[in-house]
Amino acid sequence: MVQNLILVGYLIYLPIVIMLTLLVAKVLFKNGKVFMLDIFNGREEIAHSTNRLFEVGFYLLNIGFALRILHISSYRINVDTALIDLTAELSEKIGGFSIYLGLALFFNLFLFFRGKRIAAQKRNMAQVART
Amino acid sequence: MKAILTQQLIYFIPTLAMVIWAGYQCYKHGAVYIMELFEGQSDLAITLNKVLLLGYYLVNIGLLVYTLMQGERQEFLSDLISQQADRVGVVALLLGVLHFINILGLNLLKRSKFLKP
Repeated sequence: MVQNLILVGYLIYLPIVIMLTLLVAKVLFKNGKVFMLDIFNGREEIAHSTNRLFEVGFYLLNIGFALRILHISSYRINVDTALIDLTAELSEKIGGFSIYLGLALFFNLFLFFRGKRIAAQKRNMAQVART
Repeated sequence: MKAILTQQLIYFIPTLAMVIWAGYQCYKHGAVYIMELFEGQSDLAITLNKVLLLGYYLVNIGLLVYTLMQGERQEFLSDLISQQADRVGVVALLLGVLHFINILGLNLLKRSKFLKP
């Protein structure tokens, strides 16, 4: 009985988590194209390729993390308060993963801005060297 | 008791898809980087890219098959999903880490002048 409920829990958790990852990845790397074009000085092919490579890594790491924290132990679900316990477990996992995704998003944003700043510095130094 | 093959397929199919997808994306989009490293020797670069992809597939798919029959047989579907999802998650995490190490390595190589003639 508890195992069936846990299965339902997994079937709720997985789509939500995968959709969250896809959504964040789509937004992050759609807007990342602009940063990449700036960092690589308008060279479109390498900018697009780098963006795509980062996207692949992002997907792999986040799906991997989501799957690793999937497991719900039957010891945490009491038979008499089963639905409540399941909701609590799911909210912990989905909420925690959402927070992690937000942090990953901010970290990636930080990397984008840092790359932009370093590229601008390099451009400035190249200009100074030329004059 | 070791799990039967149909249970292991829940692990094998997603991980196989991930390995093939990640490898192909690196092959397609890493081509730019390899071309830049081997400026003027574009046929060498293309060949190297293909050879790297082949080696990647050999090692990774080999590892997947090698660890294929590792899980325990589960009687409940929820336990089965949990166990196989954990294995898929490990593969995904490892692939992601290796992926970023590859990118870092390529960039360091680009900067180190190791391949300059």
